[in-house]
Amino acid sequence: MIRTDAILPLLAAGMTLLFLLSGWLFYDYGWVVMRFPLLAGALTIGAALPLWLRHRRGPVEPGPPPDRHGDGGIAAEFSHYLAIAAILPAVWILGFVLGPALFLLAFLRWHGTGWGLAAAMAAGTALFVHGVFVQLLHLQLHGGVFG
Amino acid sequence: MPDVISSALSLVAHAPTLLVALAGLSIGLVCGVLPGLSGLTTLAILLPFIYGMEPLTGVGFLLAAHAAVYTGGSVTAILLGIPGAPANAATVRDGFALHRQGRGLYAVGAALTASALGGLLSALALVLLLPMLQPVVLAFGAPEIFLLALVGIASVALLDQGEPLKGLVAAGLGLFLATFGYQRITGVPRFWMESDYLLDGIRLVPLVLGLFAIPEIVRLADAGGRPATAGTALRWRDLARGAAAVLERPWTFLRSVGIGVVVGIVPGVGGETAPYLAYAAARGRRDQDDARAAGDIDGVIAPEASNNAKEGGSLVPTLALGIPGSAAMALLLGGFLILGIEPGPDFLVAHLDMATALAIILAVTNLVSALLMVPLAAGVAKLASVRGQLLAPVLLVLVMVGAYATGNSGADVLFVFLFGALGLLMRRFNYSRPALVLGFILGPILETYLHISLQAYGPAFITRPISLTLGLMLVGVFAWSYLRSRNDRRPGVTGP
Repeated sequence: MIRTDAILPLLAAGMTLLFLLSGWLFYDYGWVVMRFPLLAGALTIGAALPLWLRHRRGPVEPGPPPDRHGDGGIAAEFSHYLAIAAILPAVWILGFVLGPALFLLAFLRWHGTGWGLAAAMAAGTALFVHGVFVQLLHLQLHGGVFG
Repeated sequence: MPDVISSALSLVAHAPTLLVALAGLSIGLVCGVLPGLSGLTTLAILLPFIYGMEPLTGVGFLLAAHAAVYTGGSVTAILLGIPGAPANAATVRDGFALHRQGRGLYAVGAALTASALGGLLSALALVLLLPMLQPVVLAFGAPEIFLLALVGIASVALLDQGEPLKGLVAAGLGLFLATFGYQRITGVPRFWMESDYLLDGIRLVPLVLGLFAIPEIVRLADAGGRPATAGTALRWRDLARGAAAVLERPWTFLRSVGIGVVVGIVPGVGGETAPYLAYAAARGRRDQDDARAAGDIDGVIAPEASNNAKEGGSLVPTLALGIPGSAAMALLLGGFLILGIEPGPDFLVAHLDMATALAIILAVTNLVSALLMVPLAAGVAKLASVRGQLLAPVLLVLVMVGAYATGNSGADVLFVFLFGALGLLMRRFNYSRPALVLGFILGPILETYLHISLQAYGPAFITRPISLTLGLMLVGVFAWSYLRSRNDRRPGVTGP
């Protein structure tokens, strides 16, 4: 079983190696093009591999850093990440004015906020995005699949 | 010198620049009061909004917001025991103890005065140092700039936090991500995976928003409600006595400002280090005498003075050499690059007035933010009791719109979430996110200057006198981090 703290060095080394190999075998880059990626890749892989090997052997990590005291597990953290990522389909379907408002309403209700406050914040967000970004700053925001 | 200052003043006395700086300052104060929103997160969220601004206006906006964060954070550190920004954590012990003794506004008065005057003195140091550095930096050629950038990255990667190997992984990853897209030297697109978006490489704004803003938003979404706090009656006399306490302790104050400026200049030592060093210098001896003693006004003045003073110091290498010494300065450098300006020796020669104008903005921001906080302190502290779950979706909307607005591209928004997942992993396993950003920003500079150095001097470029000195510094940074890491691993010794 892979320990969770071995994920990042493995991921960093693996992805870097994959891109370096693609540079040689697929893109056929020359030495001047590949020189710097090779140096950066060597640094990444060279530092990641000893970390990965150490994580496989046993726990040597000190306690969590001061800014992570009280955090939940990695699964809880990623469930919150997925919850906020729900804004992506909302924006894609409904656009930048209505999508975030609907997301905000659902998010706040899910966390136990009353209907009144949740609806007021959702409406305020829609008005803010439309008023400031569309009307004032004239940004061309995505209008959604129907807009 | 007077010509430069008058030219800088005329640059600053421009209505849009002043208004935008005031807006940045206000945002910075609010973000400083809200726990969880550090200066870095604030900069990351504001970075997309500078597109289209004049260079001084845009960078002044970021600088004003960043400088004001720490002033706002000191108030909640004292009145609620919650540091608004990590750098305010050193203030909590004595500041909150004073508040519990019924002398909260006395401490607030001292903190705001120390912050304002500390920031003012560091801006003055910046104005004096920049012209002095001008002839020095002109002696730097391509090999020296390459090695200096390498020293900057190595310092942040190895000394910033946690384990050196993790710092090197982060820096290496940042350097590698910077190689995507057209290469500056040959124009060949690298690792673009047949995607037009990647031809221009990975964008700075989605990277920074993902690494810094998304993990904070996730943490806020996970945070429970905080108890509402009772308001504190505003007594002007207490605030004035606190302000006078700073002037009555000139040695503590000036020493802390000195520590802040020097720590700010040294790359990689980290923004949170200066307040702790100043606190230790002010309180160390008395803490040994009585380990439980808390509630000393020196323990408020020292960290707050050094906290704001380090900003002027950290601007010195950023503006003079184009090498940011800290993560916040890396983001500020990103702001410069977004607006088409590359700080460094040439910048200092051509735009000394603009660099001085930034010092003036820094000084004014520190003064005005402290003055603004005086009448608002007691009321504004209540903002800190806002539930994280209410803040998280609002910030997320700002991040989404900001990321999209930079290039009118949905891919930017997707990359925010992609790098957000990476940021979450890096935060959880204690990898240095600043090292990754610094590697990403300095990657193209390193590659270009390495190429020029090899073309002009061959591998022997390292033997030039300044290069050799910088090479030895690099070895020193590695040796220091190795020794520190070995000490931290000894049984019974805990890391930072």
